[in-house]
Amino acid sequence: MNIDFLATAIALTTFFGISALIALSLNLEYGVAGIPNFGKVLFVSIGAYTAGLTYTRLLPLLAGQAIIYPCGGGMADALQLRAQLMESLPLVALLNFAMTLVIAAVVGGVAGYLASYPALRLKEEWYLALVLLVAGEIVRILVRGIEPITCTTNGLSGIAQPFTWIEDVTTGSIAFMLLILAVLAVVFVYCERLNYSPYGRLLKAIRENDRVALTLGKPVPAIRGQVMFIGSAIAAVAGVFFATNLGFVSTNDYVVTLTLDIWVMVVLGGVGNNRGVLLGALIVTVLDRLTAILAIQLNSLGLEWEFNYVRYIIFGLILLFMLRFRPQGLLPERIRTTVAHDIVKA
Amino acid sequence: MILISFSVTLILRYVVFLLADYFNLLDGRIQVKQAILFRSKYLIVTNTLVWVVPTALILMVLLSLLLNYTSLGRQMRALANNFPLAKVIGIPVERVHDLTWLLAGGLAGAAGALWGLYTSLNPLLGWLAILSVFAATVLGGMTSFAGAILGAYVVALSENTLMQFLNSWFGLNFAFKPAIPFIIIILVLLFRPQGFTFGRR
Repeated sequence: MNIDFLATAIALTTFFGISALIALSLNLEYGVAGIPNFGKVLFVSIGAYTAGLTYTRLLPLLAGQAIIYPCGGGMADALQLRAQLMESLPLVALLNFAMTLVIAAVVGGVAGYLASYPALRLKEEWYLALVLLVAGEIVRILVRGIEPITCTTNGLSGIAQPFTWIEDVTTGSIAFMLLILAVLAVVFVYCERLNYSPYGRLLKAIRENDRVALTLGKPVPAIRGQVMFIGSAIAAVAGVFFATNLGFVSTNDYVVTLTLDIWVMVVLGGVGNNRGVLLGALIVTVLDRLTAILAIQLNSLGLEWEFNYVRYIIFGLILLFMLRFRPQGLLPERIRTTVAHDIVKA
Repeated sequence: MILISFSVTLILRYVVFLLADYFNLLDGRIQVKQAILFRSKYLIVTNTLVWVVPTALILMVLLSLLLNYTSLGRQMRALANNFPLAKVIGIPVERVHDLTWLLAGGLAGAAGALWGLYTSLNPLLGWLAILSVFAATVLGGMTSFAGAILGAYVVALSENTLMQFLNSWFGLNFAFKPAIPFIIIILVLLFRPQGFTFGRR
């Protein structure tokens, strides 16, 4: 067996960073604010499609070149132009990437707010869960039908990470990994700060009992909408990283099982605890890679099992066992008390 | 709660996937010979239709009898209406809950068996249908049988007949068909969250 350990470690860390970003956003929505977002994949995919659009439209524009329509006859030319621009003009590549992140965050946030708008106003929370679960799949099917976004079923290739201008491939991927880790660190600090701010306490109050929060004069639906905005914006940013890491935007990558992976991370690590979520993301990514390696090994031994199925069964079992025996996760949420709490107690 | 059903569904689905793969049933078809019994300009009656519609009707009648005239049905409705009160009054909540799930699963299974007559088989069949089913349920208002049936017909007609019209009038691509039930869900949630619920509540 031949495994390039450095490359594997880089790939693993990169993927961990991206998953952890999405998991942190889900933790903000579900763990802190109690919104069951089963449509995580929708907002990740919005980030990815945004990347597809900016790489094909904005990138040539920034470099002062004519836009080549990326589908049909111009596909090969457009792809070559993208690759060439990304490799020869570092500044343009980085600027394009930065703008992609900003646009994706805004579009994703607005989409999150709008998608949750009708369902958040109903009393039963499973409406929202179902609407979002279904919305992810619908948007996928719709985008697959609209040619200018992903060239229908063909997908867009050459959505490269922004460091392809570094000649050494390993250095480039390390730079990309470090960028993701930096973004992850920023988001983590943001989530922690938010968690322990008065706003975070308000979110937890809504999670524990939204009627009490409502009677105290808190605009519960509006606040839930805000949380959906923030969470979806983070997920869309993660989606940009997800797509550029793959180097490819295709509607086939954004199916409901991605949502499931993120849920497993949050439930396994600890609902409401950001550190726990990072731990969960780490465990799931490592497990994922291990099963992939194991699958290759077993298939080379002639075992004709579709390992993807087994993987999802394992993930479902993990979810079920955690919910049954340790619903608070590996690292439970810590109880935070304020000064007022101590005074009332005394 | 919803998370648990989600993970159980997942496990079962991929176990079915494994089995289907093992027995080479993925994307297979049940070989039912299609025969046309009656044909006119607007209506075609096939032999599968003769099986499907009466079976569905019989199941619906049985279910409505169960819900309206047996003690189990009354207990189920009591549970749906006011859970704490049902518990206080001494209804075996857990048991009724289990039986409801059993019944619902069985009915969905029967629907799947009927549906399998039409399409190629795939463990994701139900997942692809969940949207239409959810749209029909939301539209139906979740309070009455008539509402659910009416909702199902409205969704089915708009998904097939309306889609056909939209295609011939505006040239709308058939790829957008799944969007129709979704739009129905959103519109109902926005403007009439109670669906086809009229009068007493």
